[in-house]
Amino acid sequence: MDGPEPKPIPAYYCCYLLRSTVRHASLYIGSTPNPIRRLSQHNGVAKGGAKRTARDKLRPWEMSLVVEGFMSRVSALQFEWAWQHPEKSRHLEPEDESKAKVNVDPKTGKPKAKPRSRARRSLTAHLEDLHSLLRSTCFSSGPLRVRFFRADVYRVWRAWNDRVDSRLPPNIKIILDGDNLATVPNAKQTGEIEPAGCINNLSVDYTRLEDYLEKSMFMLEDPDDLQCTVCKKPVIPTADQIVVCPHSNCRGTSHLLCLSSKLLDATGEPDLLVPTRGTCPLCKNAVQWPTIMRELTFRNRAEKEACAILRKKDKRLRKESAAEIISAAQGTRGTSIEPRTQLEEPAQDELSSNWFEQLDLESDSDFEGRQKHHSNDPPSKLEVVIEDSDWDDAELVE
Amino acid sequence: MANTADVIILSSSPNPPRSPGLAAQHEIKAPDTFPRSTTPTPAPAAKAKPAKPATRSRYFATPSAADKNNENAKQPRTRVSRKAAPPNSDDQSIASRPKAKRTTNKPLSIGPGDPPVEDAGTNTNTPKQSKCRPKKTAKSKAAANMTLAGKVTKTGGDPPPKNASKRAKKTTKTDTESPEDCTEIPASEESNALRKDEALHLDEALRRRVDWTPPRETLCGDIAVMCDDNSQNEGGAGPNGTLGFGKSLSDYNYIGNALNPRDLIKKSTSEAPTKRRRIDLVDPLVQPAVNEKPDSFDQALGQDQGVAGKAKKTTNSKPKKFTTLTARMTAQYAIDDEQEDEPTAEWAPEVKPTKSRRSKAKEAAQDPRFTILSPEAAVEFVNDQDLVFGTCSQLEREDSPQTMREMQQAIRASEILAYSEGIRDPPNSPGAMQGPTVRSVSKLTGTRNLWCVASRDTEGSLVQAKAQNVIDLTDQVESPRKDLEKVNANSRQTLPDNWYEHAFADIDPTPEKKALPSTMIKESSASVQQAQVTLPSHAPALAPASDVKGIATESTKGTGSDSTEAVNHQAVGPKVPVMPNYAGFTDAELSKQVSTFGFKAVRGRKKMIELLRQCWESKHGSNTPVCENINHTISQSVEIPKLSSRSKHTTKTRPPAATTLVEGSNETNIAVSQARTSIQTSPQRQTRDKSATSNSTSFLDIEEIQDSEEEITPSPSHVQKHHNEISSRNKAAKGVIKHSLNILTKTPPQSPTKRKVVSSKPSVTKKVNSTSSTCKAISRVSKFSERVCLADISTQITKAVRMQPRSSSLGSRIHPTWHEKILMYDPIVLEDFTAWLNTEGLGLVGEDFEVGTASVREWCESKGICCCWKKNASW
Repeated sequence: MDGPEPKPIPAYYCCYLLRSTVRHASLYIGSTPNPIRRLSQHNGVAKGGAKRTARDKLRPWEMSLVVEGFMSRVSALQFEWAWQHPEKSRHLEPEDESKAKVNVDPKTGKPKAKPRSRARRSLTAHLEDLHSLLRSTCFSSGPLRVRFFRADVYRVWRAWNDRVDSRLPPNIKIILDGDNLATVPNAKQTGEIEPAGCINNLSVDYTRLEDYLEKSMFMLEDPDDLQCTVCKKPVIPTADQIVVCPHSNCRGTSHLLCLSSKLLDATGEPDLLVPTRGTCPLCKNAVQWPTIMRELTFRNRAEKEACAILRKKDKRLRKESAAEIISAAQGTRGTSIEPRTQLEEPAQDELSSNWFEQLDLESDSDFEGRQKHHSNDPPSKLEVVIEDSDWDDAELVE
Repeated sequence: MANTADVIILSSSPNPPRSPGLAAQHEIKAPDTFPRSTTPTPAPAAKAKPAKPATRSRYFATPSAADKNNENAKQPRTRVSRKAAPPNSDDQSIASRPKAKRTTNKPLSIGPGDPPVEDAGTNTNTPKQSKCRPKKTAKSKAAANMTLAGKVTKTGGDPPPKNASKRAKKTTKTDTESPEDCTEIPASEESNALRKDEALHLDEALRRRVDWTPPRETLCGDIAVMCDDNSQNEGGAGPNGTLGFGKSLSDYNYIGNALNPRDLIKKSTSEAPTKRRRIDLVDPLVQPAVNEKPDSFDQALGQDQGVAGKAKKTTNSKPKKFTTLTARMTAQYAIDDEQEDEPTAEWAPEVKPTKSRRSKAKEAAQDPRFTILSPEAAVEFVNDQDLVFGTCSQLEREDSPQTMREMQQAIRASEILAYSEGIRDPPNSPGAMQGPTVRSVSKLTGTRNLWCVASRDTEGSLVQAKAQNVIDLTDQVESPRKDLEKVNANSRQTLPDNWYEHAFADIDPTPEKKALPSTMIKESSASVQQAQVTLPSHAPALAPASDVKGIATESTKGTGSDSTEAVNHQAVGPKVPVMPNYAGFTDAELSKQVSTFGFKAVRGRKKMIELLRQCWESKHGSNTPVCENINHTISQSVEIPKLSSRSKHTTKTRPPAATTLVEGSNETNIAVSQARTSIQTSPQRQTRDKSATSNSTSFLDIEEIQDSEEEITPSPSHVQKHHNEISSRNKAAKGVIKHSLNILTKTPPQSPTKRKVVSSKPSVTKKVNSTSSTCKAISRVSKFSERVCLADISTQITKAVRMQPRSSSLGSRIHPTWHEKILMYDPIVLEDFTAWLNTEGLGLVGEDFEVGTASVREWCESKGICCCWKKNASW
């Protein structure tokens, strides 16, 4: 990591399959850290939508499904690209090996570019590719989740699943959401894996990490009496990568490598390099490795943002405790946004990579997320959107 | 119409014994020479005349008057046309028209005994014949161009004067009646004025209509008729006759579609009909069986062309060849090849390449004998035959079969020289013939293209020259054959030979040819065989090598340029150890190289170079011994012949060089492996470079030549490749290399010939083959090695990652270990990670090999670790 300071694991990053509600055959694959914003862009509500989705005839668009849980923007973009270009992707090659052999270019000896993807790929084709991508070695081990918002899309998916011999790896979860659900779940109480009811209810920020983050930061502020739960050595948060048990009442801390090796050993798979889950050595509760890492990276790599989040939380709590009216909350929110952005900008080493962080951070505030859900504030959103738009385009290009 | 009529005639014709056919043929040979025909004609004509009127009278109401009229009309014609004929005026007048000639001819040959009988038979047949005749007459009219003036030609507006002559022959066969008919018919044609013949006019009109559009058809019909007649006349021709009939039908269909531009051209170019006719007649007699089958095909072609005799010959030879898509595709270039060859031959007088090629072509023509193989032989050929896979275009690119053959022959010759000198084993080892040479030949099949030429120019390398030299050698060896072949070839057309070669190059021609030359020149063939045999004997390693060859052939066969690969291996062997100078590569080349290593194209030249270096290093370190051995053996086998061929040219240098090569190859298995790796990187170039750059010492001349060629048609990539390869080669300084270099250096003296040769096909083929095949081979090898290595590498990398000590001093938070990065789902920058692995990581595990980013990426993806290139690392 020579270059710029590494970024924390994004709070949320997803690839989505966009579908025109007017013409269901019109599909679009994209990726975004903030599907809520992105969808509004696609629908022209906000600036920065992809050109392909700009035709009024096809609007509004809907996110028929999202693949979420990417632990890095790069990973998401790679997934997106592979999904968009299944004929070129290495990740899809293994399956098509037999075909690829047939298509070897006799002149160059290199595998021919697989037949140009159909100008318009069908939903089934996309789901096929998605299925095989999720089974590919590169993505099968990741903590990915597929969230279906449309029942008809899910039916196609199911049909395809029945036809495919191989199954998805168990760690990839299928979440039925949207109109797949009989009842709309409570948006505020949804967990990461649970259905949100609609895209707007997705939690795309670090809100979930708030408590975890607050606890770990509080604990590590005074690390003198802390020691690694594995190696029993003192932890030095300023120097080492210290992970904290995500459970609120557990004070377990450990070195990253200590805990990982412990968890890896527990799996009994010597070749495994990243555990997916395990049990906290101290509290013996099950822990999700991605969650720990998300918190760790955010805490270590985005301290200011972490602090801002905590401050916001305090503010919010204070305001809530003050029982202020929603309007007042909006006012505070408006004010809160600005300082965040200001805080974030100086911290940005990489302009390019910052955008989503900003978004994430902004969205981190509970206010925003909730406000977005509850009441739409066009002005604030628009501002945000404008900033994002450039980056979205860049995304598309990639 | 005409066809049908002809067919009928044919049916009737069988009655006349062969002799008439022969006579007819002779006549045909000298159709223009009226005196001959006329001289014999008078008597037969006289005989015929009486019959003629009768026949017509029987069938046609107005024969006599028509005849008279015709005669009247004819006489002036005949007079004009026949200067010598005047005494026979009446008969001659009839004879003057082609049919009349025919009639005369028949009587001449067959006539004396048969005429009355024939007449009777014909009379019985006459109704049909008469019908046919008018048709024929139309044809004959066309033929009239030959014999008579333009009246006939009107109908004949059609091209086929020759056909007409043939028809005339046919008609003669048909009997005396035909002349009458002919006369009548022309009369009818002429005779719009002739009231009596009006009925005939109608027929003619119909015929004309038919004839108008498709002159070819008429030609075909004529040809078919001719063949039939000949065959029928000839005792052995019976099948031919049947074939002819069937052919006429089939041809009728075929003609429309199958007109081959080449054939047309060739035939059109073909000389005067008379000569052709003679040849044709002779050929069927001499080679009835062979010609028969092809006839249908040939006939179709011949018909198209309208040149009966040559067309027949050509057709005969051609039909033997298989008509595959590739053959058709490649056939178009056959002419060019020949042409090219000839000039090249001219260029290199000493080498005599043209002769060899020509002789080869001739040989191919002669080959038809060989073409018919016993089932066993056919099976053998099939087994021995190397399969060339590829699209037509690809095959086209690659060298023509001829060049392949030549190459092989040259290789053999060189082997003979080198090995025979060094070690003389039993001269004739039958097995040697087929094995490697055949394979290589088949692999290289293809025709030259403009592309090939261009490529060769850019690459301009010794290899090409060598190939040419090889050809020369073959020529020398084959010279006796050539003579024989030439004789045969004279009878046969070269074109069909080429066809045949193209079609069968893989299978038959080479072995057959070889066999022939071996018989012809026992010593040479023996020496070649010896050389082949000696190869295994020479090197203990080589004995397994033969087995290895079999194995290797699989890989090489697929590529299609085994020999080239082998050459590459040789060249590479020494070069390999040295990493190619990627800095010298163009971006395109770099990207190619990168792709060769299995990486996606990387932006940025530096990155690509870096990547390539890493890849090369990793590959270099990761070669598996087995593969090396195989390659080694292969390379040895291939190398030796090539080298020997080269050495042959140099003659003096050969034996030592070959021996040294073999020894060196055995000794330097490692070098071979290295070479393999290098081959993977740049096989094509290496071969060329070898020859060209092989070593600066003796190669200066050669190099210069190459450079000049390159300059002529510089393709930046090729040039760069050359330079890179050269540089890499130069860098590599191993004993083996030296050996090869010495050999190579010896070759350079040939430079004059080489220069000439450079333009020749072989170089082109090598280049082409090397490009495609080598790439394939390389990719295969690389894949194989990579797979072998990857299992190891993967586990080792995993170990290394987990063994990386925590950087307690600096603090893992600022400088996380790779495992920590992985744990934190950081995208792994492949360049950095690979660098770390190569510098530290693998050292932790006790491995001294280096990995490339490609393998590292594969490892990452297999672990589900997000990895990316540095440029994309802004996550």
